[in-house]
Amino acid sequence: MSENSIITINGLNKWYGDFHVLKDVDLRVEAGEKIVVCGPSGSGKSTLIRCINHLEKHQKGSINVLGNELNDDIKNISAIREEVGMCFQSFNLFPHLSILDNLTLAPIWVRKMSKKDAEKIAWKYLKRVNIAEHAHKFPAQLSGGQQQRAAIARSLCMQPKIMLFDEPTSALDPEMVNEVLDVMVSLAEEGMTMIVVTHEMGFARRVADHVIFMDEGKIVERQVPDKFFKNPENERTIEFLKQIHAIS
Amino acid sequence: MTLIKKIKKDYFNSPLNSILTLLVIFLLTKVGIWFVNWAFINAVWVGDSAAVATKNGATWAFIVNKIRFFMFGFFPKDQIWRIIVAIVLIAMSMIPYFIKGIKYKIFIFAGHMLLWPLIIFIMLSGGGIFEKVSTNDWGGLTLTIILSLLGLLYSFPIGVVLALSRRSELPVIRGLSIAYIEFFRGIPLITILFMSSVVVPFFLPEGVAIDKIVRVVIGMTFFQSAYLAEVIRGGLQAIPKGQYEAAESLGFRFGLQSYLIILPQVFKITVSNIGGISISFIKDTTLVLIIGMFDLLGIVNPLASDSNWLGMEPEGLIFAGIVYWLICYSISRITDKAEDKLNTLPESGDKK
Repeated sequence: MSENSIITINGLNKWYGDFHVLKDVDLRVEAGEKIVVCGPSGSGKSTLIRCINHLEKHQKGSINVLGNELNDDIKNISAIREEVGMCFQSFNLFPHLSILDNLTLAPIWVRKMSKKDAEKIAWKYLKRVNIAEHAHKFPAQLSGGQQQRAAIARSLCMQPKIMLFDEPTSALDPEMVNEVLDVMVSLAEEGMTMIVVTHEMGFARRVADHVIFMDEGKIVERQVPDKFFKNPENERTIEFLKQIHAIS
Repeated sequence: MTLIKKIKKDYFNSPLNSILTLLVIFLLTKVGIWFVNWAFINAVWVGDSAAVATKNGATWAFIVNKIRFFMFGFFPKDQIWRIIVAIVLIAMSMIPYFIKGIKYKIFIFAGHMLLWPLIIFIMLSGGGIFEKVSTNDWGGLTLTIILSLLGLLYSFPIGVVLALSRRSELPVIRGLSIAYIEFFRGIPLITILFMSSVVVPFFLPEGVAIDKIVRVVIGMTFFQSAYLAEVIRGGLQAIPKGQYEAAESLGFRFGLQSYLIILPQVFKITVSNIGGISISFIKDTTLVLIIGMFDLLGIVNPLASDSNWLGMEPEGLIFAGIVYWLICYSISRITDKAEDKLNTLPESGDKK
């Protein structure tokens, strides 16, 4: 384990019943590193990042996050989850709470912050993601892009050291994709450690330190973006990139 | 003009329909006139015995005369103020719900679970402070309200726990919860009431006596919580998986996650069902008349057996029916209001 690596995954294996989703995955992420994970659907990329905060339970191998070994101890899991933020494809804001309350809920109840401090942080991030004027609205009153930005802000309010993004723009109308990507770019520029599962290759080019290509539960290729897009080594990667280029 | 056209089109569009319409109007008018005559025009409101009754009018004098028994059962007349005080105390204990900024409203509820029986015990039974009144003398609307209130108060938390356990990943907890729910849903409430009034005392060790009312409340709670658990489980199933995942990824563990994120959404979905089930629970309390308790319905018979007021069952039953209807209709209105309130989003924009 290198000194800077804050996520170390060794020999990770996961099965859904008989289906072998992740096969001997190794991954090292250093502090401040931005990694984009891509690959065809069913390749296990979402499952991989969902294992990192234990939304999915792995059966074999080890995951070490910020020096904590992930096991079944709920205290350990919660400790890791407090440091690892996650954004979902379908936003998953809490529909019964206003945007501001969505943001302050975890800081108040999990971090045991005072309401005043929590709101101070919430307003800071609401301004950052540019939805301060919607603070008192409810999730259903916001557009998809606004909801996803609120969801990012909600994660940031816990002041995580790592952010996981699980296809954050896949459920958005095309004209809203950029407003979310812009927030993610600025987050990357500030040095946040990020693992992003996405098909937005423009984003990968702009911010990724490394691009990982997954297929059939394995990491097939890991490259710096330049090489990944110009000169990929693996057959499957080339084929996949061709398909994406064909679309765009 | 259009109204006449519409009536013509809807009710008089063929000879047969015209005849049916006229027939229904005729019958409704006939019954209506008869009822108004009986209930109001020919009704007797004042009097000391059944002698004042007229042949084709209601004798509301019976209700007016016996109203104390309908409301408070056979509670001693000079002690009735205690019931009033108990009602006021219970109503006052609800005030904290409406105070904003209380973080743990669940503790208020837990407080009520201890406080309400204590208030009822001290104020109604005497609790060693006041003159003792046997629970056999409790009755009328007071008894109906005590049974409904305590039954619902305890079956709620138990129902929530059962519903959550039924979805637990631990087989033992899930199994126990399923067994409990299926057992109590599978036997009639009457059986439970008989068991609690006749069989349970038989098995209690000598010298231990649990009051009948306590046994009945426990029995009803068992029964009602099983039904509530199923309603709440229905709501739990409607919550998308993403809500749990979002909560977990923010570091919430099971308890806070349920309390802050899942259950509030469940109550929002199930509020009208919970209202409906509460109404049927309140009506179910009338079954206690079978084990010899005189609730609002059960007290009609003994009152109409008063030699001064023989044959007054119809008036008594109608009066009891009206009171039940008022209670149930208010609950239905309250849940409708609550549902509206929960489902309306606030005006958009900053409300600061």
